[in-house]
Amino acid sequence: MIGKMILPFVIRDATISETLERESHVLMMDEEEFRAFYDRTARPLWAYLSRITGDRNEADDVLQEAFYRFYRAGARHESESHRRNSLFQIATNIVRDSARRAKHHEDVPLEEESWAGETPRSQAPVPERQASIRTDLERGMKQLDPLHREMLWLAYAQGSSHEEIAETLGVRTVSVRTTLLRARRKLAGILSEGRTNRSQEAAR
Amino acid sequence: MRNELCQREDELLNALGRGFLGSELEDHIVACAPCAELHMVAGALLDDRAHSIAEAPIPTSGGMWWRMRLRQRHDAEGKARRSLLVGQAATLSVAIALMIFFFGADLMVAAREVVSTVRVSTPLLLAILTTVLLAPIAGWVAIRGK
Repeated sequence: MIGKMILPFVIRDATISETLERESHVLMMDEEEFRAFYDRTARPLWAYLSRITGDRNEADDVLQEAFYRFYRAGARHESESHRRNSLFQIATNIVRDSARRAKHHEDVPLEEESWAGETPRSQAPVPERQASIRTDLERGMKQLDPLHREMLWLAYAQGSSHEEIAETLGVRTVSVRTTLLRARRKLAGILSEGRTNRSQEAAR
Repeated sequence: MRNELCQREDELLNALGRGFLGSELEDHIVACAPCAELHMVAGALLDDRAHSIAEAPIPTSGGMWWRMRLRQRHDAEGKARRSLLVGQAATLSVAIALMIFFFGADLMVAAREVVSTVRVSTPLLLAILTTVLLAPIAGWVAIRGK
């Protein structure tokens, strides 16, 4: 008798297969679709992440996490660019959360980390002048605010429109123009300084 | 802060994206401060992007798909385990509530009788009661652990 009374109260055990089946009803990408999207976006996303975090290992981790969350979200997108923006938005949020946690735990600040002296995993021959510019850029990006770094990369390296930048970074479209200009001016100043220093060193 | 922009900035960005500026645009860059600034910044970023993309140590799409499926399964296991735990806790609570509801009065009388018959000391009685209460919980935890 008691068993019969208890039964209605018992929450039915959710088995793993049931959970997976439930999730498959969300509009997730199939393997072929996912792999094609990954092949198109993973490298640009890694480039973006490595620059905004300043840490290649973190870029690796965030890349995987971003793709997983994107896949799990299972959202349908109007267009390829909308889908790409959504992925970049997820990745940006992961980086921001991670930075917030690092700040909370008083981790090593971004400025102290560096992969300037690190050997690139895949070493393509880079001319000396280009390497210097990359070093200046790396130094300059680290001196900028995170939002400025993200915005500069999306605007000039990624070629995103102001609307796309606003959507990805969660800011108002009208503020993108002025913020971008300020960031550009600051980075240009740092790059010019690096160039001047190199010229002076060469002259000595 | 100066806020002026050049009307040819979009043209310059397109040209930088194509990788070819042309002599006329190059002359313009020399004369125009905003375009010179944009050329320096966007040029460096585009160049850096090209190198980063080439050296990006990313897993293959097949490898990534496999990892994601594995992680999805792992997450589903965790979710199922949590649901199971909630179900077990709810069942246990309901069972105890029903026991008290139906047999609470009888149990109290029986307990009083036992206490008055045995006449054990208070510490010993507390020890017995604790053992009686904790034994089923310990058993449940041990079974769950296995």
